[in-house]
Amino acid sequence: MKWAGITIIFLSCSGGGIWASLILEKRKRQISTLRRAILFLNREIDYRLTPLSEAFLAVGNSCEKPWDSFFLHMGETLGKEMEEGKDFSFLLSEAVENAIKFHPWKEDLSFLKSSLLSLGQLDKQMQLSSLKLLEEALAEAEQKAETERQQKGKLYRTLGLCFGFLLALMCL
Amino acid sequence: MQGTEILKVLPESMADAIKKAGPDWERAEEIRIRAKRPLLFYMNNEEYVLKREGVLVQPERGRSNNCYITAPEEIEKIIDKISGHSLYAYQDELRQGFFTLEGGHRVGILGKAVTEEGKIKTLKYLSFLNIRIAHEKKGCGMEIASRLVKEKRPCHTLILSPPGCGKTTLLRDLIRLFSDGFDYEEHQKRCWFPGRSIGVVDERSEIGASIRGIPTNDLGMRTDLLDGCPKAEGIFLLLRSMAPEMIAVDEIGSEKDFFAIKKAVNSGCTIFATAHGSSFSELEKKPVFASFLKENIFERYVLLSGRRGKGTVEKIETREADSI
Repeated sequence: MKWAGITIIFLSCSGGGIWASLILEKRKRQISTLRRAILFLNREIDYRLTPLSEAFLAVGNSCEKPWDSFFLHMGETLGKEMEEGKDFSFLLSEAVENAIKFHPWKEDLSFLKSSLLSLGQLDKQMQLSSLKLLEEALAEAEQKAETERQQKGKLYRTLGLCFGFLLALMCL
Repeated sequence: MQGTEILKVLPESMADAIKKAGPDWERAEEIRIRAKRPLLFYMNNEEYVLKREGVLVQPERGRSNNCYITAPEEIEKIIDKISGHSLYAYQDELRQGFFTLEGGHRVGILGKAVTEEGKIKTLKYLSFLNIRIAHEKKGCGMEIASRLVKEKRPCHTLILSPPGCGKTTLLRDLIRLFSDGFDYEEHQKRCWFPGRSIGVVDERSEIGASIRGIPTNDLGMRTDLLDGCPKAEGIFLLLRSMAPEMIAVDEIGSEKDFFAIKKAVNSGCTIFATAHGSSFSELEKKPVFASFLKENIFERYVLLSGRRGKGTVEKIETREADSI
């Protein structure tokens, strides 16, 4: 029983360290998915001059989880709810608030909201410039997330293992 | 027609006031919206002012009191709704000065022109809107369809009318009839005109009122529609890709249009077209038309007016200037 408990403690602490490093990987992966989605949105606007509701639907249908639901929600509600009098900034704020559930890093979402808010009101050149700035900000955030993953990921895994080993030793 | 296609692009307070006023949408012609000015409604060639309490009244001398005055922000909201918050996708429409709504209603827009090298690049500070209400009148072409057929073959036809007299409405119904086929009398015998494949170049989206490329108006079962394309390029594209038996275009007027029409005629297509004008002599005075008319391409000329309501057929003349 004692050895079973020690094993559980060791595995829990190591698992915690691995879980923390996987969270960093997940963040980097999600930023990368969002960046590809924004590139796709850019192309919908640049080559097809697609109105926003259709463009969001097209992006939602082609991008990976979890951002597909964000863009599909925006596409589905934009046309319908604007007819009912709700304005775009309200719809976008609501969608970004909901996105926190699957991407809890608020600093990534802050520039997403401000960039998407400027869409639709400007001419095509300004749309594309606005999206390009967002894409560059996301590239930077992706790079930062990758650096953190490399530095802290290893640290968390090591800390998890060491802490688990220490606790196991203390229990002996 | 209940006006729903128009009301849904208007701000809530404006739409509520108009709904409360209960206009006769079947007879409604235009809604003129001007920033900081009263909203004007046109029905049956009469002008009405919308009052704040939701009543349409004929204007008194000078300015009417207690009118619904449009705020500039309301015009912005209308444009936002029409464009689906995607003004960038409608740069061509802005440059040309109009949008087309679901149902084929045309919204003319005016504001400050942004020019570049003498050409309009776009419009800003949009402050004036003119919503021209379209009416699909199925059957209005039946009266004249048989006179546009000779020996079971459709004739090249030009429909001529002043603005707002129903030439697009008539063209739309003729397209439907010639596409589906119709019964007619020739030499006192009952005949059937079999439907033909028709290509339509709908530059302003008024004929088909397409949404995502699918016409919302009934244009017949053998009709192919090219939406939002300049007429000349559209005619060439149709000839290359769809092999139509007939081609229909609205409001021809440039040399490029005529060149494309001649090409289509030489390819064996029958042309149905419309043009602005209140008489044939007026048309002959326009240099571009004069040279084109001399080539005697059109076999039928249909002259419309608003004398007994929109779509009044004043006369139909043949190439030889005989009335039929």
